[in-house]
Amino acid sequence: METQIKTIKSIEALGENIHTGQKTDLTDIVERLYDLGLRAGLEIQILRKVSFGKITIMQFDQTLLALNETEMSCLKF
Amino acid sequence: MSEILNSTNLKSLNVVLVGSPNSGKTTLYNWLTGSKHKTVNYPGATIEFSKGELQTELKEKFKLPQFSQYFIYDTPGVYSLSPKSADEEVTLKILTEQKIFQIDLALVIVDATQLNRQLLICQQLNEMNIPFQIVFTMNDVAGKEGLLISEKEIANHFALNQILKFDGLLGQGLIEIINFLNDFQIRCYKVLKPKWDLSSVQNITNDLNHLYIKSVEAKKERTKNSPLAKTLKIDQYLLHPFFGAIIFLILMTILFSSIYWVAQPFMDLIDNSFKFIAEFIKNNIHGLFADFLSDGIITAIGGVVIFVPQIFILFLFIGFLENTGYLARIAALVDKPLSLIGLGGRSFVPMLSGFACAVPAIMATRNIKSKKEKLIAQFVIPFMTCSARLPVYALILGFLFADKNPVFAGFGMAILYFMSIVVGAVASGIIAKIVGGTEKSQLSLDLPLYRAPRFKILLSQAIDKSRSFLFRAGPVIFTLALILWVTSNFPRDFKNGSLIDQRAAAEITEQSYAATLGKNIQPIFEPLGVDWRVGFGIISAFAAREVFVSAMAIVFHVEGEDDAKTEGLLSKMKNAKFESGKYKDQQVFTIASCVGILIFFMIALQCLSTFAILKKESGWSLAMAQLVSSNLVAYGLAVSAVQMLKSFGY
Repeated sequence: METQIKTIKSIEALGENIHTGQKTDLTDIVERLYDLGLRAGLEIQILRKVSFGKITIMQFDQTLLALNETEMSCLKF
Repeated sequence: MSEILNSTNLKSLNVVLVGSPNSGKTTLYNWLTGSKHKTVNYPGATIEFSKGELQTELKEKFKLPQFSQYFIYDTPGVYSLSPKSADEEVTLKILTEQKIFQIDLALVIVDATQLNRQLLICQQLNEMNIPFQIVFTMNDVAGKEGLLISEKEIANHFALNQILKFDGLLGQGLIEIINFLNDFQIRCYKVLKPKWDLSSVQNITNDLNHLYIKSVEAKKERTKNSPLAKTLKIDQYLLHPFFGAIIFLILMTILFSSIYWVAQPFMDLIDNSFKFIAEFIKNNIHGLFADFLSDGIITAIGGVVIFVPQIFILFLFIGFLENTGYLARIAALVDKPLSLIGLGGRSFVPMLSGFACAVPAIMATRNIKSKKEKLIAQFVIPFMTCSARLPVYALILGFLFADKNPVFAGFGMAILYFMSIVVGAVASGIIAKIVGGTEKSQLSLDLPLYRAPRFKILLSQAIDKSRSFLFRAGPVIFTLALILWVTSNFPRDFKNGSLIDQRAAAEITEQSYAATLGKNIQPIFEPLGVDWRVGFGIISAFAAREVFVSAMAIVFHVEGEDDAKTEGLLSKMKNAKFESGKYKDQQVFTIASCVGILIFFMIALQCLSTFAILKKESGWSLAMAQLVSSNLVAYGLAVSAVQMLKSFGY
């Protein structure tokens, strides 16, 4: 997979739960994403997907993060 | 709002270290305290934190010490002070409730390469009105990454006089930190407890982003040898879909082998040492007291200490994986497969360790952030085929395939291993359903840059975990083992108190409370296709599963050591018949009853050490629930299998 550069437009607390596939309130997950340094306007580099394509490895500044599908669904690009 | 009133005549200074995981907090803690620290449980929580005192040699550097004692506390790592896991809650409680001690100063350890997010804790402490001081770590890495940091800007933002710096590898900056502590003026303060909702978190993040832009200038070109560039290069292999999996499997094989094989000589040494002491006592002191000392006390202590090599090696290895930065990547790699059974990537190492011994494996579940996953992992780990089950499996398979090619017995063993995984997966799925799908799946893994760990710190952490096991789970295991000794050795004739020979031991055993209990509850064992003697073996196996073989040797009057004992026991098992009850004169050991025993041992939670550690990690109620449910399910499935096989004439 080639690296992709994306800019986060917003982080939304109404995301998709990976187990149910339904829209769920993910406020606590969004709070954690903010704790980890993600925010609207941030440019991130998506490096690769691991664990059968379900986990996304990304980089911004000197930070490397691994997010699952539910967490990624909160990020709007 | 809680009110903290620090009196001005305090003789000691309480400093709490707060920071994100991998920020270098524990490294600074170890430099400050050396070996002068102990592990403390927060009241009402199973999460531990460390309490230590400033090293004497560091204290001697003060010309005029301001405080008589300098206490340092190392708290669980947090990303923010809005807790999302049990250990993060403990850090927040330490800061806000101040039940155990009053905090005079919080040292916030901030990785200088991660200022874009780790200053959040400083902002929150500021809003809580807790006195704090920032310490930058990884300054060399920040330099190599081309980051130019204006410390003055950051210090001004938080109204601090300075930013302290510390190098974890060489200890540079330590003198400045201890001088700062000695010069620190304790102030009275009230802890404020702001509610940080999503909107306030967004505002704080935006403010800090402005501060970051103002205070950090990144040179555009990053050298090829910068730590991040090296990490990205290594990750090309370690996170590669094919090579990553191969490297992962090799490393896990080494880990598993280490727990199993490297620990074995040390466990044998401990075992032989305790046997030697017990024999020495028996040969030099006679009577009941000698039996109590040797078979009761010494055996019980030995039963606790014997797990230490496995626990030490496991935590040394986990510490190595964690400190290099690879453990977080393992969690990412295996997250999806484990999510199918309600677990997550962080559960992998504890689950794997369960194949060696459930005791250290359950202790390793402390690394799992999600309460739900932790609960599932703790429930499922005892199903994994631990080393203690092997002697039982070897005996029963040896009986079943006595006249056949040994390959069949090996095949049977492989099936038992495989079935334990299946049972674990099914149980995990069921518990995940029972616990419910309300908990949203979280991974949010911070992947640290790769770095060489400090062996001294790894060693210190592994020793701490082993010590924690000895002093917390040890007394429970010791007490239960003593109870089992009393029930297996009493009542007895006090005139002939000491065990003279194997026959005398067998007679006492046959009359013991445990055997009487076994005989009285023979109707419970009969549906399993076995008599009271096997029942006695099963009850004895609650001390440790491998005790089943020696307990059977005693009740079947088998003498000799090791191989000769096993051969003799197999021979007696062939001819063993029910002495009473509805199956009188029928064979005890049939295909049906042997399969029943195997199923029971595969599922039942018999090991008292495992129960003791479960009780310590999750409390009495959950440990009891697990004990009762596992044993009932084991019994039910074993009885069903036996009755079905019997109906087919086996």
